[in-house]
Amino acid sequence: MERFSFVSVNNALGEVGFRPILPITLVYQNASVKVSGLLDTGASVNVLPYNAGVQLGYEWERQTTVLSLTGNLAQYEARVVVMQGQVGQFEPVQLVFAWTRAENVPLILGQVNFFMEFDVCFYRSQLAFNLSPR
Amino acid sequence: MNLTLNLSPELEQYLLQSAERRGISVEEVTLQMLMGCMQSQEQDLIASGAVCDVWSPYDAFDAAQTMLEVLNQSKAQEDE
Repeated sequence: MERFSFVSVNNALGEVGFRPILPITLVYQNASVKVSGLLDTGASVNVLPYNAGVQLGYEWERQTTVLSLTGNLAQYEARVVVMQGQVGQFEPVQLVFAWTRAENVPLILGQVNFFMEFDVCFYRSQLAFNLSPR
Repeated sequence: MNLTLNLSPELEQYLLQSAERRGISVEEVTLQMLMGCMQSQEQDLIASGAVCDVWSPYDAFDAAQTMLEVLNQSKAQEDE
């Protein structure tokens, strides 16, 4: 089990909030990218922003499984990509993402399949969360 | 992180009484007050009427099912 702190974020007005954001390394073939993902239990799926997918070496036209997402992401096309994700000192796991054409979207870690691979306990009153592999 | 504070007699008395009333240590009551101060900053954030984009794909059941199928296929290919 590893413990992580909530991250303070400022909005455009300079106001402060706290979010459960996890540092994670995403690996696809010979490319790896260190990113920060928002732990979002309300999200049905993981979401990969467009630019992050490009950094990992994915080519949009070669991803043939098309998805329809919901909410504000419904207006953007999305496709399925599979990669390795490595958190803290734990072994890498296979993660599937909805790679969206949207660019101004956070990287989202959701039910399918981040929370299927990791157990997370939130301690909001302490601004921390514990995480361990399933 | 350890923090050393020079408290006025009035503040010290206030913290001691708060701790005694709640049945917890002075350190714990001080931490709770700090947390409460930070959380009230967040409540101001909500009360300001700021518009925030919500990107969570709620109830994207079809997408989830498709993604699980692709993931299972990928794992099956790796096992071969």
